[in-house]
Amino acid sequence: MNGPFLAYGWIGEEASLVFALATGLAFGFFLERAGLGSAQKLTGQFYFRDLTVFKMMFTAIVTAMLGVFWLHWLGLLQADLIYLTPTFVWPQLIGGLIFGVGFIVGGYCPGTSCVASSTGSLDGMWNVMGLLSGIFLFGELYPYLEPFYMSGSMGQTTLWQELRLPMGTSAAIITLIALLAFWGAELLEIKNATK
Amino acid sequence: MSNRTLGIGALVIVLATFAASFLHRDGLHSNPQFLSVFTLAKAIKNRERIVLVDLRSDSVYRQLHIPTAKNVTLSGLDSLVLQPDYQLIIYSGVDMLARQAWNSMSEDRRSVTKVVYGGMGDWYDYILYPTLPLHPQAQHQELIRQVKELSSFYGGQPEFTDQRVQMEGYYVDPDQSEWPEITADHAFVRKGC
Repeated sequence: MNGPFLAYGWIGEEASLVFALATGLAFGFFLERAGLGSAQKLTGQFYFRDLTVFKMMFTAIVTAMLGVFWLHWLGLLQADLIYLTPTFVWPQLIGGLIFGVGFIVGGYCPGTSCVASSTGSLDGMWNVMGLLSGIFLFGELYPYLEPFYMSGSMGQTTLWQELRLPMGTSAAIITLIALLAFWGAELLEIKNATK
Repeated sequence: MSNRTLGIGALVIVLATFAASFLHRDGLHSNPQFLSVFTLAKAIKNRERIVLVDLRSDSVYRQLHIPTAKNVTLSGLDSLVLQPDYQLIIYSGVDMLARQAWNSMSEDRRSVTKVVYGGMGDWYDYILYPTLPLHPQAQHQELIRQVKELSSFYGGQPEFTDQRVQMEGYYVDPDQSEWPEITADHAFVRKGC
């Protein structure tokens, strides 16, 4: 049996939605358990006081990346059949900037605002209303934004393809960077905790 | 478990990943030998010793298939009896089924199997209804003559354009190629009356 299961027809569309629901539930659960429903913890990383979010997210990325590589290497997963969100450099750069500003001003990212809302947090709920309003506004303005929205297209590409490195080498380098970054984060937290 | 232990474990994984990447770049799975639809078209015309298998469903197969192809499902592929000295060639619509078939094949069966690069999609686009340059470069003239002949042989109809046409699709390195990118599957319908 090879993955991706949906691409190979092992599961149908309905089952894939059930998988998505289960994954989403687990994601929300672990986000909340890790304390990412707290605006203080989330914004703490921008002041280098509490880098839990950075460490948690980067760990998740590295775990998934290594998992995909090894499953592909063992022949259990055809990595090139996994859907990749296409890269559009300029809108994703500007969108990321707006996201970052919203994150530190609001105290939540979209996912964690839902997590906070689920625990009854009022500021989380206001954040969710803000993001839904933003989505609605984007939809209404889309005809005017479309040229910019589609600019800088690089198609579905990966870091290892752009760097012309083997997938495993790229994964190993990123993991190494992550380990160094975690060590650096620990040092920063200690330094800022003593201030 | 302390951070030191986790860190050491992570470094071990990093080293193993580096090693795996250099020792077996493409991993433990092997890619098949591919052949282009151009090579296949000539092989069928020349009545070479091949068993051509279409892995798609019966209804799609009946709509259009590569001449001489048998319709065999994935589950029936294992029990297909191959005569000695015959080559098994498999294809599907956009290579998904062909990839699945290859992954589940035994090593013995793989040694006598090739995969049609691009499947029915490439047959449709490069043999039946190819788009050819109106003013070809000198090095492509013989290829284009052969493609026109094959297209006519199989009941197709080439189209001509004065735009530049990529001819690389007719050349597939059987040993170096990897699975082509999966594009959206679509129905293949004969054009014309």
